[in-house]
Amino acid sequence: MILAVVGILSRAVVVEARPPDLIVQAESVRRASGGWVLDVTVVNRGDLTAAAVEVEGVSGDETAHATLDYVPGHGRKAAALVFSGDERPNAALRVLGWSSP
Amino acid sequence: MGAAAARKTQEADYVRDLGRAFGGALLFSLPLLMTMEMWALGHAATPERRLAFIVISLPVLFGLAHYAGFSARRGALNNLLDTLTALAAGFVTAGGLLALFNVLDRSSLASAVGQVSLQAVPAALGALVARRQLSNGAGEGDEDQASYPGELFLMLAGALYFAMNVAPTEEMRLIAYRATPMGALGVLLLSVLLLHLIVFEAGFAGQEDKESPLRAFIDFTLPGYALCLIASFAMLWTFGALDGHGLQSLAANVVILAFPAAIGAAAARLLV
Repeated sequence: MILAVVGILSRAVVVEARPPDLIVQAESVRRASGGWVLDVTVVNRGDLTAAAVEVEGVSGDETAHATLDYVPGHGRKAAALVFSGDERPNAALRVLGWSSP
Repeated sequence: MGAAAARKTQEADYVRDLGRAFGGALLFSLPLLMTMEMWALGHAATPERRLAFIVISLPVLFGLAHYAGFSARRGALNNLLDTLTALAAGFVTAGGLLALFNVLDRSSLASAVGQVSLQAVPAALGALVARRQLSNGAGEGDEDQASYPGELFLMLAGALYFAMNVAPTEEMRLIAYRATPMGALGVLLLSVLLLHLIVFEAGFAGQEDKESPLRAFIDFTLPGYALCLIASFAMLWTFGALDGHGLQSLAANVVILAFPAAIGAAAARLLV
C-alpha cells in the first residue's frame, strides 16, 4: 500500500503536470420549487487543481451561475444551475474561469 | 459499617472517573467543537457515512478502553461499560457545548443529531485516554504489557487522536492541492523518517535493546505508517473530502493527512 502511494506520486513527479482543463457536462434537469434545476458535473482533465471554478448556463435570455470551491486534477465535482422560466431549460454551458488554489 | 464505607469509596471513585472522562472529552474535542467545518459536516456528510463512522469507531473505542480507559476497572464487561459511558460523555459534551455556542443547526432534527453524533466520537476518544493524561502519574495502564498487535493498535489510536483535529479543515485539502508531487513525496519520506526516529528513540516496551533499528523499521515503522494511511483515508472518506478525486490528488490528500497521523502514531505512548 505504501508502495502504491509512492508509485502514484513518483509517476506524477516524472510526468509533466498539465494545467487544469475543465469541461461542464449536463447531467439532468428536474422540476423544483424555485423553477428548473439543472445538475451539472465539472470534469477536470488536467493534472493540477482548479479553485473557485465559476460555471455559467445560458438558456434563452436567462443566465444562471454556480461556483465550486475546488475541482481536483482528474476529478469531478457536481453543481446545480437554477432557471426560473416555465419552459424546460436547454442551457448552453461553459466554465467562466478559475484560480490556482 | 465496613461495607457501607467501601460502597461510599466506590461511589466516590466512580464520580472521580466520570469527571475525568468529561475532562478528557473536553480536552480532546474542544478544538473540533470550535471548528466550522465540523458544524457543516453534521449535515454535509451523508447519513450512511456518519453511521459508518460511529460503527467503525466502536471497536477502536473498545480497544482504547482496554489499553487506557478512564477507570482502573478492567475486564470485557467493564471495558464495554467504559466505552458506552465514554460515548455518553461524548454526546453530552458535544451536545451541550454546541448548544451553548448556538451553532447547532436547529432547522431540522436530522442535522442537529448529525452534528452532535459526529462530534461525540472524538469526544469519547478523548474521554477514554483521560486516565493517561489527567491522572497524576500513576501509569497503571495495560499498554506496558501490550502485545505486538496491541502496539500497532496503540499506534493507530495515536494516529487518529492527533490527526482527527486537523482532518476536517479545508487547510488539509489546500495543502494537498498546492503541494507538488515532489513535495508530497517529501512529506511521505519525512513522515516515515520521523515515525521511525520517534518510535525508536521513545522506545516501545523493552524493544530498543533487543531489536536493531532495521528490525524496528520493518516491525513498527512500515506497518505503523500503513495504518496512518488507512486512518487518514478513512477520516477523509467520512468527511467526504475524497469525493470526485483523481488517483493522484487522492494520494496527495491522504499523504498530507498521514503526516500528523504519523507523528501521533509515533507519540502514541505519550498521547494514549
